[in-house]
Amino acid sequence: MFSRTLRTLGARAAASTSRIATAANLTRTQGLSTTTRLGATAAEAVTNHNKPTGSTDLEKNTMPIYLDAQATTPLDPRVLDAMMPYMTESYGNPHSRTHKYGWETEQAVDKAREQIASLIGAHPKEIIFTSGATEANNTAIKGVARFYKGKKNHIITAQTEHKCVLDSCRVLQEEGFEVTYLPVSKGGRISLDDLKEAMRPTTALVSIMTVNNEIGVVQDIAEIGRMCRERRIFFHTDAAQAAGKIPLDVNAMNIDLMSISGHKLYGPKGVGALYVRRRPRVRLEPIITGGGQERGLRSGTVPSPLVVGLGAAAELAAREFEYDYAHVTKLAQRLIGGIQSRVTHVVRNGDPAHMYPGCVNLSFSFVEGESLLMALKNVALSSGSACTSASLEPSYVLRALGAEDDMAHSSIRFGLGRFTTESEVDYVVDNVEAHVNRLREMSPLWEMFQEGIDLKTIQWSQH
Amino acid sequence: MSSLSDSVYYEKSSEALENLTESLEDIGDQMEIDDYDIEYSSGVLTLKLGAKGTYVINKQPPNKQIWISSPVSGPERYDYDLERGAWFCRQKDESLGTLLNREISEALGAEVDLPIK
Repeated sequence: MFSRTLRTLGARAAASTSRIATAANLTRTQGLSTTTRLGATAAEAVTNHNKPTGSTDLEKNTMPIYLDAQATTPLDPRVLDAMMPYMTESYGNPHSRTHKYGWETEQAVDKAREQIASLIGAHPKEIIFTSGATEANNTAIKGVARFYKGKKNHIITAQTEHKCVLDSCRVLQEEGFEVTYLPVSKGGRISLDDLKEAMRPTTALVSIMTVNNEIGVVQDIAEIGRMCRERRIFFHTDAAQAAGKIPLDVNAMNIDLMSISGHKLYGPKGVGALYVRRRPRVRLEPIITGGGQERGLRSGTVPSPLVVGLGAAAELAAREFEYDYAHVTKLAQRLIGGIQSRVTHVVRNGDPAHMYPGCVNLSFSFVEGESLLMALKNVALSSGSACTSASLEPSYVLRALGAEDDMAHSSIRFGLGRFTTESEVDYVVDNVEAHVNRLREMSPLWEMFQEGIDLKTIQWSQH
Repeated sequence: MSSLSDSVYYEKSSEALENLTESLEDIGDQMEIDDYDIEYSSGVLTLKLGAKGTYVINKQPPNKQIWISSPVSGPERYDYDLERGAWFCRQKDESLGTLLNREISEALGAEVDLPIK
């Protein structure tokens, strides 16, 4: 029923997902309950907010252009289609063994397990469902470390990891473990020589994220995996931003544990998966104990609708992988090319040779990030990572890259996804040019720079 | 009925089944047998040996026993003997370790030494 309605809503730029893109936008602008009543006027409302006039007035019922794909992604309507039966008629508990409600839900959960396993080249038995990548990271890091506590007490990770990884390591440090935080190069990658030197006979785990959520840099996972396998150290990677976006194969890359997030993959929020290798076996101490579900590694009723959604999202990602990758690459080139040709003193953070194109992090000199975000009212963006936005510090990831404080403060992250269109990117480029120039006009630092004053010679008076 | 306390039973039975799981997993990894599968959850250890059949070894807390279903010798129940420090079945007075070592060595065609007496 829902999918038939979606088909009547007209087309947008993306070819094979045209009707889906429209539906997703309309769903946002009008709210799900009114989708069945949408007609021509709604279609116009959608195209209206692509006015490249730099106007800042927000029309009442429209939402900003969404360019924050690293924070979360919209639910693909085909994923919602897959989930609906499990939110309505098939409400059984997948662990109920005595009746059909349980059996059919269990079947759906098993299918989802296969879909996720085939996305990463794993066996379905190696997939455990969790409440998200944060829980998966916690389980992997704390679980492996605590299991091998007596014999191995060292963990290696990187300075640019997600907060949940860094915090799990901090907690383990308090429990008596030793943790090495590897520095990163200016481009954002860890040095393999540093890693080799840090590895000890007592190292239990190496945890390095595949794609960084703030700058999009891709680490050399296959090589890290090979080095870990040689020394029989477990290798965990947080693939929340990578799964379904870049090719992953847990066997070719020697990955022992992998975290996957549902809502980064056009799937639902509140669900994720942890891949735990069986051969050679990875043992871990569960952090959530109880009835022994998920092979005893994560007790609790498996949330069947969410898990079915995650499975559907994984299958879509695998199927449409090439199209999605070409789409974000094209949009990224359009965005970066457009901005760099029209605005001066723009730096792209991260090593351009090893980047996921869908995450573009740019620093605009002499412009403060927050003020640019406020100016770009019609565009939903982020400055630094969503998880650290509560604190007032500049992003620790950018600082780890060696960016000066002022460059870290002036960074904006553009997240491109399956449903982003070329006209949205064009609008953003126009607005960025207009507002960056306007803000620079107001900036005393820009004035001084134009006059040839070296900003590093300024004596700032302390208050 | 066993005179074992609940906590001692829990400790001894968990130890037995966990050690068994670990060593059977290692054997599986080393020997690379077809259709070999081992799963231990909720106190039930299921060992699949493909065409040779499936073993189910589980805790039975109400009786404070370990029960086994063997494709070779059928069902059996074991009580923990505090003096001898091992699980014994009443009638044949054979320990669980002895039975498993014998039957699994036979099934795999290679001598195995499981960490259970």
